[in-house]
Amino acid sequence: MTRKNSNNPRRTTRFTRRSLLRGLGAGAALFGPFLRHRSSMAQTTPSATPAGNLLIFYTPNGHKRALTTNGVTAPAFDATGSSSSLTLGTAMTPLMPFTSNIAVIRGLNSKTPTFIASHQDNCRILTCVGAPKEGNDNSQFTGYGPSIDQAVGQAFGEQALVVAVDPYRNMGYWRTFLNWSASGVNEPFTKDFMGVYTSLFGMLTGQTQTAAQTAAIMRAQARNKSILDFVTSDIGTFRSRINSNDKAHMDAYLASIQSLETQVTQTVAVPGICSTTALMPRVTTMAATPAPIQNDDKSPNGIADQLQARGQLWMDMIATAFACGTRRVATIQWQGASEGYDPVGNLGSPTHHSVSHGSAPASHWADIDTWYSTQFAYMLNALQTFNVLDKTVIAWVSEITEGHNQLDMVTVVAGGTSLGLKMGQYIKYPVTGNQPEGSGAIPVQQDPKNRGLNDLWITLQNAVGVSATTFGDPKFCTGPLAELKA
Amino acid sequence: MAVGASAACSAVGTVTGGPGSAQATGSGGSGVNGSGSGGSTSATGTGGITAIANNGMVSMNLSWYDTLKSTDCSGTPTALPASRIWRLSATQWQNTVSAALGVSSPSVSSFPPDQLNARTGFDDDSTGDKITLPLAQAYFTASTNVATQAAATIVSSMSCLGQTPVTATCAQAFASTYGAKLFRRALTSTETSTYSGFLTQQLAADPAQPAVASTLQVMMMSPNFEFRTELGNSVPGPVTMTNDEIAQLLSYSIADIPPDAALEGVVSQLGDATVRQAQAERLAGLSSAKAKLNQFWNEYLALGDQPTTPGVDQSAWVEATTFFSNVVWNNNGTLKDLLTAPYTWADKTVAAVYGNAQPDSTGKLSLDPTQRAGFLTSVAMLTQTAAPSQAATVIHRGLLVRERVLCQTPPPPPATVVPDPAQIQQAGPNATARQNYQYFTMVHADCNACHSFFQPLGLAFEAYDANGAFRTQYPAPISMPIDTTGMLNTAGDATGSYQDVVGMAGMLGASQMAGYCMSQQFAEFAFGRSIDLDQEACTVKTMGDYVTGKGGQMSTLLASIAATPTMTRRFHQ
Repeated sequence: MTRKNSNNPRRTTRFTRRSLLRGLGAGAALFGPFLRHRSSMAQTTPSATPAGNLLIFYTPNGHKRALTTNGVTAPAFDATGSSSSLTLGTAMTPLMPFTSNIAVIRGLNSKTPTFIASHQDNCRILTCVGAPKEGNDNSQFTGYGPSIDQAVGQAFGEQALVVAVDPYRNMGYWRTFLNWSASGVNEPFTKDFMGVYTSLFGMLTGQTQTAAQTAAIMRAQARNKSILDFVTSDIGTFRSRINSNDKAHMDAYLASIQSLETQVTQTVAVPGICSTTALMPRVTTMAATPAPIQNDDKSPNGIADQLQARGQLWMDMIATAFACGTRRVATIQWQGASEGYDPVGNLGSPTHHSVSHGSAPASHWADIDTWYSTQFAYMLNALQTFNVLDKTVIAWVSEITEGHNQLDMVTVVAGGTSLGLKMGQYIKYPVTGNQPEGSGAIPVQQDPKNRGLNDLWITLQNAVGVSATTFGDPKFCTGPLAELKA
Repeated sequence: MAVGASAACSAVGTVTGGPGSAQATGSGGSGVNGSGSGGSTSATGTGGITAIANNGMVSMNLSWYDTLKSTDCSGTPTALPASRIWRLSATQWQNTVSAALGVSSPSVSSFPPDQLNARTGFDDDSTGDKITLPLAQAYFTASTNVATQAAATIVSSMSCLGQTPVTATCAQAFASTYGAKLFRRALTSTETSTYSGFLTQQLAADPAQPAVASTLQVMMMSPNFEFRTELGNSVPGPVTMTNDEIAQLLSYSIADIPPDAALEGVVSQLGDATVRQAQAERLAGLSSAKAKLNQFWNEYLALGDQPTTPGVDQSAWVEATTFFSNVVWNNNGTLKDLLTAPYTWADKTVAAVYGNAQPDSTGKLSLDPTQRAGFLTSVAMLTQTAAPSQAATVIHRGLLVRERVLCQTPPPPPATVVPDPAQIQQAGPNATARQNYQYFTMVHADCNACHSFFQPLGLAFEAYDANGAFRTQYPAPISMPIDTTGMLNTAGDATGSYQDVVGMAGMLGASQMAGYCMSQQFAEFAFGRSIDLDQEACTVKTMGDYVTGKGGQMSTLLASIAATPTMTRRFHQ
């Protein structure tokens, strides 16, 4: 008999807590150190003028770089080419219609992995800040700086959207701790289609409002603002009385209030420049069919269509929000790290993870990449339909590479041709050293000769209008990727 | 997660543990009875009072019981818990709003579930419960709804709020009255002025009802409402909690409610330990206190929410909670009863796992006393600890005894080891769990330095299969009799040999160590933080002794918190 609690993971938590996984520190991000980079969270006033949109497209378990067939090795989730040409690997075939809108970058490295350097570094790839100390402890599941999406969102004075496609998980867990609003503060994903729709488009009725209706909306916004401004002030007073150890509570609350204020006083987009008409019926249908919640690492078989439908609705909503100007930064998490549905075999999570460990022929892993390439192409097409692909930068990342580490990554960047980025090219940075799985990655990845992932995020934040010269840990930044700039 | 497959265990430390450091004794500082004035001394003041270092880590002192027994708790504590704030749980939020504004059962369904503290396993956690954006959104929505509801009644009962312009006296009366209800303390004059000023500002733009609603909403969104405090006067060094803070510690930690009228009536006397104890015992008799202790048991057993699908899981969940409720609340039961009772309350689904016996008309099911003893042999616990691999099941069940019943947490696996017990099951495809373990001790002697502490205990539980059914022999192809005998060592007054789990449970039920352990677990639940058995031995000891003094009834755990020596004092920094 299986003791699987469909609603709550507590049933097995105490073993997880005190024994079996304590060495791995599961759930540790709930109470890690919170002090570093806190100042960035207090950023409320927009410090940058948005020049474009930023989207993080995350899929788990890395990719199969190449396949060998009849003794011939050819790129799969990789490409060939030069600064002026791009030939996509077989797993990227669905992206061929967008070749001129894509750059494939090979050879970047996350320089801030844990000593294990595996799936748990999903909390590092968007933050690029190392843990205070290395060890098999809580810190390996905690991000110690704002992730790139949250940092850019904060610079824009908006709440970056984080959505998850997986229908079976409703609670954050280290496998989904990808986004961080500040050091130690995980930005949770949402799966609430209707809530997000209302937040993004609630006031886009497409109809002319009466003067009274407009006045009521304006007053409601002003009322909300005055309430939250008052609460902000109250938090400051309260904070001065409390134990220094507890000030992080108030910092977190303050950050939440500031994000909330952004939401409830969001400037209403002008109706007419974008349309949400086609979205509403799909959102209503999806909201009326609540997904089963399981909150463990497993899902049943046969849900590939469901995954695709949910993912495509999220992508359409994101594209529409970018077009409407109601949101400029978003992340779409397809699955959690180290788990993952196999959409090709139509097999439940964590089959994708098993495939990445060789449970199926290598071509199967590449086929999963191809499935995700199809979804990525859908995203690009949606943006292109709204004529915002050139004003949007999309980065497709995974927490590991084929070697189950963060060395010699294959990263797909798309869009941004109006933002000073050069697409239609293959960029390959040299990588020094090798790193067997689970062997401890830091010395190799931090080799100064190896290019850091930090530099990609510098480049992209610059492209969308944030002028910072570093991202994450400054010591691993060497500057923007000149090759990616037009 | 692939983290390498090394089974090297050389990093494992000793499991015998040292004596640890007892809680500081001796004299110094002011008494434990708070005066309510919030007095303080500096961090370097008289008596060398310090803050208890609470890093949330698990104590590795496996010999804590011996240390605790020898600790002298007659003196005034010289190490105090840190001052703190503590976010209201969803239940506490609901009860507080309801009591303050008269709104019945305000919805908290949109509140994200409180996370379990990964160290304590309990969800009412003062150290980790932060207000994330989803929670802030939920607070905003819920407070909007509640404030709108309450404002209508308030405006009709305070007619002065409808006058234009509102008078300062009226605005201040509203602010001080409802501020005190929501903050569970009187407002300062500055606060009264600030909140009444906000109301006046809102009345300039809105009619009375929405203006009052907005003011109630800022109060409900205030950290003064969202958090309870243990700050005293917030001067660095030892501080005495205010009487309002002491009242809240009692009422929320025992019954999840704000201070009620009876408690408010004696709030100025809460510096008196006798008054505190009397109030604690009164609160412990409330129905909400019963619900709170039931919640403790649920989280102690890690039962989670009730499964929604009918079946064994659901029936076992109901059995586990009903067993506790009936033993503790209907039969004045003790921990010994919970550990040794050869009976339960179960439906036919679970009864079938126990054998052929049928529940009586009340649902009570008499069990074979040679096979079953309390919750350790319940279907819920046996299935919860069952794992796909034989070794993992044995380990889980051994740890169930060591960690939950005896509060002995072995060191974590070394960094390089993958905690996959399937890797250590190597004696052969048809080997018994005991044979596998014996093989393991030979080939992984370094690992066994720790595993010997808990894994042999799990072997006794081999008398129960993964479904919780009793057996005396392994099924084919193993087809061997099951040896359930063993020795419980390093277990204080529970130490001894046993023939089976029933025998082991009897030793545990009779032991003082298990009682103190239960007090430690309840202290973590009620105080919402880690309670280190070394640093806070006197907290655990006084609670345990209080329960013993009351006849050992589990229900007395609730009021036992008032007996702790650091109940009213904190160290602010």
